[in-house]
Amino acid sequence: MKKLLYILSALVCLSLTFTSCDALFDNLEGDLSKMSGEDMAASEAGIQRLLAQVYSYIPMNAFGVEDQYTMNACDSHGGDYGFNSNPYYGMYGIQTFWNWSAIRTINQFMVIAEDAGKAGTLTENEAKAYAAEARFVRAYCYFVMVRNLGGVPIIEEPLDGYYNPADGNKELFEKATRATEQETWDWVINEFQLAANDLPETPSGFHAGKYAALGMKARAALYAASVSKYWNNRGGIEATYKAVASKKTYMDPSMANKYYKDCIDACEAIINSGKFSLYGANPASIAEAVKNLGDMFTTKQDCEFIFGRTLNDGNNTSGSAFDMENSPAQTVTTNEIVGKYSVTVNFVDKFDNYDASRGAVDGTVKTREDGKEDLYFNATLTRFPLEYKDIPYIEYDAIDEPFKNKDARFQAWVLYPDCEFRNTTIKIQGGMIKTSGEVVLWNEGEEEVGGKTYYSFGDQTGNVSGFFNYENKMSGSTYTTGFGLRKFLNPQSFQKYNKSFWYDIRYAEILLDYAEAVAESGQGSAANAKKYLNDIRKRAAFTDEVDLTVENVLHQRELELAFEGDQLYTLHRRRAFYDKYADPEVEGQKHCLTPVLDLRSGSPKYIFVRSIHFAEDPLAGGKVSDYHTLAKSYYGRISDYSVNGYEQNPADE
Amino acid sequence: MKKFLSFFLATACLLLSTMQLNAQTKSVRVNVADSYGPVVGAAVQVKGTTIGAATDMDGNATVTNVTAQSVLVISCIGYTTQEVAVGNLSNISIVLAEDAEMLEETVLVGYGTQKKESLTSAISSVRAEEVTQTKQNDVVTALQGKVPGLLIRQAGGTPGSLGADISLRGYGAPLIVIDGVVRSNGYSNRNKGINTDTEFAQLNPEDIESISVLKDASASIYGLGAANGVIMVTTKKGTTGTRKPTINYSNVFSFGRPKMPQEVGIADYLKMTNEMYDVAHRARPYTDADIKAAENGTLQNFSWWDAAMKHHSTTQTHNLSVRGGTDAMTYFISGSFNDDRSIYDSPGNYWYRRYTLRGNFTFKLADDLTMDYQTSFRGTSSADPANDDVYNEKSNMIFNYIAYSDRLTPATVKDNPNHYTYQGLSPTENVMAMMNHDLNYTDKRGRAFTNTVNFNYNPHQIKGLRLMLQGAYDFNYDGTYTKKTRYPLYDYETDKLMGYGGDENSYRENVRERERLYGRFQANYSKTWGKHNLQAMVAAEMTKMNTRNQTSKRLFGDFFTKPTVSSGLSSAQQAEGSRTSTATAGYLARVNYEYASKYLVEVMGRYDGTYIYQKGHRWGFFPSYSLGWRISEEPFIKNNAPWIGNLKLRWSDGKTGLTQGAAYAYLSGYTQGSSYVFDDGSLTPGFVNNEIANTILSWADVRMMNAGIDWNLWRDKFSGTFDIFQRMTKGIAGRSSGSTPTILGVTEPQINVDSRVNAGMELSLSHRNRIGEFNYYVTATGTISRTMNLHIESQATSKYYSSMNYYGAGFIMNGSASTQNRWSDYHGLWKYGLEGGRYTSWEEIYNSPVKLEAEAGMQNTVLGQYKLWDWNGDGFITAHDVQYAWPEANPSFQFGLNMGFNWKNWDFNMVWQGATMTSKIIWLLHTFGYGGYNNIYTMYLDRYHVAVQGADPYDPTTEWIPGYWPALMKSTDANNWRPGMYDAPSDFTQLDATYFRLKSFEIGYTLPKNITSKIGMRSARVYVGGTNWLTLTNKKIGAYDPESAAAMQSNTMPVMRTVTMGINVNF
Repeated sequence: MKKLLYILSALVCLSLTFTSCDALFDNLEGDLSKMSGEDMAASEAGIQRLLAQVYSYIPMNAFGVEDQYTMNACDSHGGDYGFNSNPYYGMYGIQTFWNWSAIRTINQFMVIAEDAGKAGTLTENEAKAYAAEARFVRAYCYFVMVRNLGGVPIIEEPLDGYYNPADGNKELFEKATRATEQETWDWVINEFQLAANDLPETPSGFHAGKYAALGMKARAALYAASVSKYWNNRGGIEATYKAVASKKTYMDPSMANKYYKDCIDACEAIINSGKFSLYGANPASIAEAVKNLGDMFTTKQDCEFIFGRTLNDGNNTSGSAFDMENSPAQTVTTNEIVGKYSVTVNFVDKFDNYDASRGAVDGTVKTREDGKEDLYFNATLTRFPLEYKDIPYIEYDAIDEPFKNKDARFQAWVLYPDCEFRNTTIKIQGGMIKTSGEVVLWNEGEEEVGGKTYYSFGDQTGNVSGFFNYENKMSGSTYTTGFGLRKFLNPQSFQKYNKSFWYDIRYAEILLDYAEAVAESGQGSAANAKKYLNDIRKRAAFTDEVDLTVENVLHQRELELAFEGDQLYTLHRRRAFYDKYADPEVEGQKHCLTPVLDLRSGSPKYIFVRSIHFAEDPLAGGKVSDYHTLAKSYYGRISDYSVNGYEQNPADE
Repeated sequence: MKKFLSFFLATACLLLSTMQLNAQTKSVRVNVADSYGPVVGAAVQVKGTTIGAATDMDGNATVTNVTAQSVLVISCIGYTTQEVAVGNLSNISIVLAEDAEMLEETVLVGYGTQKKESLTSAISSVRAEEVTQTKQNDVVTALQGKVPGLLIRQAGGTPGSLGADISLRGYGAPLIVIDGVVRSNGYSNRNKGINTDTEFAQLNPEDIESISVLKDASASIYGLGAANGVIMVTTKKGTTGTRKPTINYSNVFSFGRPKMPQEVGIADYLKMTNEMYDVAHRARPYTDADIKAAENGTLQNFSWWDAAMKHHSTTQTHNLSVRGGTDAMTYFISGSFNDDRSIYDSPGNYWYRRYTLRGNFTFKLADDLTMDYQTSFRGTSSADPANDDVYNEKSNMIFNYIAYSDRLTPATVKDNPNHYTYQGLSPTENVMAMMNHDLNYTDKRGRAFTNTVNFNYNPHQIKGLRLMLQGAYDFNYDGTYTKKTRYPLYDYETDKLMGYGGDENSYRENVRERERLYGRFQANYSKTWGKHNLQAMVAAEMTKMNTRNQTSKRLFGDFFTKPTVSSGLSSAQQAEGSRTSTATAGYLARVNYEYASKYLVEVMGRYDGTYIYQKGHRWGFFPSYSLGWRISEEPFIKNNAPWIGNLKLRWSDGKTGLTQGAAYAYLSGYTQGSSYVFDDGSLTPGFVNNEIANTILSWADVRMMNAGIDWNLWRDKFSGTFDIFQRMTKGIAGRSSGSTPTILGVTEPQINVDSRVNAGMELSLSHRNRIGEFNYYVTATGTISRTMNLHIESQATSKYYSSMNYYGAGFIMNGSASTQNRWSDYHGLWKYGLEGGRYTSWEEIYNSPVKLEAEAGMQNTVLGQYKLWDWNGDGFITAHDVQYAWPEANPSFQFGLNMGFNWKNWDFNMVWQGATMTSKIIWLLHTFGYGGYNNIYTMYLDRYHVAVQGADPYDPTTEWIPGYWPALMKSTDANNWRPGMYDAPSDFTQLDATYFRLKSFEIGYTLPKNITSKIGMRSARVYVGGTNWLTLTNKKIGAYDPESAAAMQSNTMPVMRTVTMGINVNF
């Protein structure tokens, strides 16, 4: 026994002594969560995984809600969506990008791709194409940076080699200098062109190809051109700001035409390639146009698709919540808050009506016999019951009557009272006037007339999509403006996990870019530009033609790219946000149209009441925001300016 | 207690008495007892010889070969030694008197034991019966108020939540060593900020023999990981020298109910709700007719509290153990069952059950070789509702939902009790459905096995040498099974389908496995010569751990079939899995030297290695020393002041390490990042490497210093311990700021740069006396500990330009704040100071020189609101005006009072515990009655309100009645959750939560011996007691509990107030 113990002890002593040689630690499985760089770059499959990371940085706001930061839409529940800007923190909703770790990863990838080409893991052409994809992504990131922040440091290589804490990172600090805004725009536009040169004409899947890069080039050039041309809008930014004086946030109006030319060139390259066309370009009827315009967002149309992404990752339990959150309450069976995307009557009024020969006439929704469509009640509508008798409201027989003759794009992309969607009649109604003249607003009410029961919300509780629970602004699940978003929603059923694709650049945008650049600069072909503009209208079943004017182009752009996040940036690049001081007479408020059932005559009639949205009306407990934009607020804040020694942007200087 | 001591000391006594036989002619039977019964293991020795025997379980010993002239010396640790002449007696009965001073026997220290009198470190020991005298399901809570230096806060009254936060001297959660093996399970974070080691907390308290708490440099013998001190537990072992086993059965029945908030009557509720809406300029929700109906009883109140909660919770614990031994082996086998039913009246959810089984065996393999085998099993089960609350604390969430629910809408549909009602809650839920196990649950099953084998070899050849070889293998399994279903909700009146509650139908299983392999070789040597006493120990040990974690989940679409993963839709599944392995090793040595029992020196060191760092940086040396001087052993005290029984000065100083950074940070590599879909329907996972390999970060150096004094005067009448301590931690991982431009695009590696100091004191005072048959004792303990950040590299250049910067810790404005050189525990919270006075008229509000809000001015201010202090004098109350406050976390200053007595067969004890330097936040708008929920507590009756219900609050002529709380105010816009400064934290909502609480008390009665022996029992005790019966605290805390962890909404389930009763019998 003792012997055994001696032996055991000796063994243990020995084994423990052995551990000092770290064998105990070295024999562990190690870190199972990491792959070495060599392992990643040794095969094309590994390189593709690195490329996936690169693509994931693209600041493409698919299924974003940027339009809710404009007058065209709002969060049904108010949310924190003021219209304009906070003078201290730049503009609401404007996307920003300040991710140097992403830029480092992209730059590293370009090196890895090049090395893999040399090592033979990839062919030289493959290596070039991979690098061009990364270049495209990098330029995209910079586009978002310069649009919000002005000039930024241009970093084209991984900087790890310059990291040297011993000398205070001197070299790194030298590189950390903001380029001027103009240099940055020039660089971005050129980078997109360089990427286009190396990218394939026909990319596979959702990879970026040559025309994606050219499309981005057009977009960036139009942005730079607009900022230049409208630099002095409303007085511009005082040159006393450091960032302006050093041209970090400055564009010279004289440069505008050069950028418009860049835009025209890029658009022409895309248009002349012959690879793209408008989907459903020649509809035979309004109904066909409505169908085409709807289908386009259900099924990816390659003729229209230039660049974008998909949320269909093959996993049934992931995707964005866009469809669920914004679907009309009647079509959803979930306990989440839905019906969040309300469309304002400000926007609805902008969609033209068709005349008998499918020409365009003013589409402002007619609610009153006296045509005073610019009068709005405050959001609580407390004055309505007292005053409605004195107002010459138009009495409609059907609740959908005022909307049935509107632009096909409205019918395809906006949910309006009594429209059909997902085999359901979408009920959006805000109140009723009973036979006695009693007014029920935002509350449940019903009355039986002639054996039929009428409801204040259009139907029984649970079967409505508008105004119900209006008072409970936080948890209401119905539209609060009279209209909801339809574009992007699955036409069959609500999707808990939205798996759709997203057009980031579609052909219509290129046509509109071209038309705008030509209209603004006089360069390029005016005839073609006019044709492209009217092609867009023609697709929406209009048969008449409009002239090539900047106003007409912007009108079509606002309608055509509705809810795609474009309008916010159009206003931004054209420095066109409302300024309370410059335009004191303009009321920057979002408006609702509340359909009210009127039973006074004994038969159901509908009147439509214009009012201010509660989120914008302090009398209704809305946000008391400072509704103005200063010119300097077009630039966002650079978060870490002091560490890097950057000039801070004007609004935060 | 005596009984227990006898068991505990039996072995010790035996070892002390040397047994040899000489040729004599007579044998004497000695029965040794104390005032309670037989004393086991007492040594009976013939004076002047080495002849002797030890008493058995009945207190009997037979000494052979004595003569009539012999004098027997009867001794046992803990008792005064007695002598008796044999004469012609052959049966001698001795009653031993307790020697309180001698109770201080040996104490567990790291890798061994030591006589308490020669301790030089700050080590507190707790005996088993001190733990079990507070009847709590988890050991941590049972220790509250008993150990100086342990800061413990009970987080709430949820069954099985093990939500007691433990921190040693404010350092953090200590390392747990059970039966010689580090068995810390990692500290779970089940409640926000709550640290509970499940392995320790779930020990069967009846299995514990003793607990030692190493609070200073003495902990450093455990190396890296022991920087927060060590709690060492040993479990009970068998006893030798007994003829037959002792069978012990004990139980605890506990009936609890927390101190529940009182809600106002339904008529008051309607009126106050209207009042709230009046002040908010909103239409009143209830008409006069509603109020009249409520007053005359036609409008019925539905009490969600009554529906969702039982009258009381019930907990029962049963414990059975068998203990005994023969010459060849000793054994202790115990089993326990603990069943905790919560206060919630839930069908199937909310319970916790625990089974434990333990076997400790010692085999005498040879004369000089013994083997211990210790094994344990623990099985736990629990069920909770499956809702992913942010704090993962379901009970609290239910607690909130009960308050949310509409008092006018009962839980189930009027004529259909099977249909749950729609409450209009967001998210849509119904409390009773949420609690229903049929609809959803998170079931947990835990299994834990431990196995320890220990060989002890005392070679005859070298006296004083002991060799030990220990090995352990532990295995833990934890399964979490979550079922979620969507359930329909109906209108109360019409039974019409209104919507759905719950989550989409799914089933999820998470499995965690963990195994630990441990080995140690150890050699102890002790030698005494002259006045010198030397003890030495060397050891080498290693630990290896493997963990595996796997989760799988499937959705079920709209039809839930069976709760297995395979029953779900294969098209909607998720799976995750991970694996880690770790290893540590160490060599350690300790030498104790004692001269004349008065000069004491201890030196020790550990060479410790860990897998975390790269080769060449894995090993560190952590030395420490301590000194002691027993002044009471000096002749000038001994001869002049014999009333000084013990007086000792101690000093210790030592180093250990605190692991910094993540494991393998020295390897740079690609990890899964964001993915992208290049082809419709197929995801390409992205890989990214955003780090620079960190080859320089190492552990932080921790230096612990402790000065202490122990005294015992007038034979226990006044004894105590006082310690003053400091822990300096240098080289905490930190990042520099401003030294690298951000365009580098990578976070700089952390370096060992920050430093922090913890300092404090602890005191323990004790008085123990006997008056006739009345024995009593009082022990008071107190601990205060503070933390200061000495250096924070990332904040080194930060400037204090507002009060927020100056005091703020967790709230950083404008990117700059510094907590450097601040007592960090003192600005755990921020609040506004009070200017003095409050707004008592509208005029005063409108003309206020200080605007409460920069933008909205005073538009959200109501009568009775307190005036806030404009710290920077800019005329506005902003974030730049905030002040500091004590946090709601585990308080830095805690105290306890433990007292009791026994008289004849009666015994009584009680434990008080309290804390100060702590706050309780009452967020008015998250609170009932202030716009948050559908409920109002009676505490808010004491408010500013109009004298005549319904009067216009904005009419300046309206008469108001003042109260502590401001006028009730409904938030005007649900979006604007907090209208202005209405519930801004200030001195009136962030209340001083100092409390002193009767944690437990117990009255016991031991049945007289003559009765118990008739029914075949050795002893029997019945007791009745309770926990949390009395709390002295700030009255304004009202409905809330000063101790419980505060969830953001201050709605934690308060700690239970229980009645406990049970019996403890020995056969």
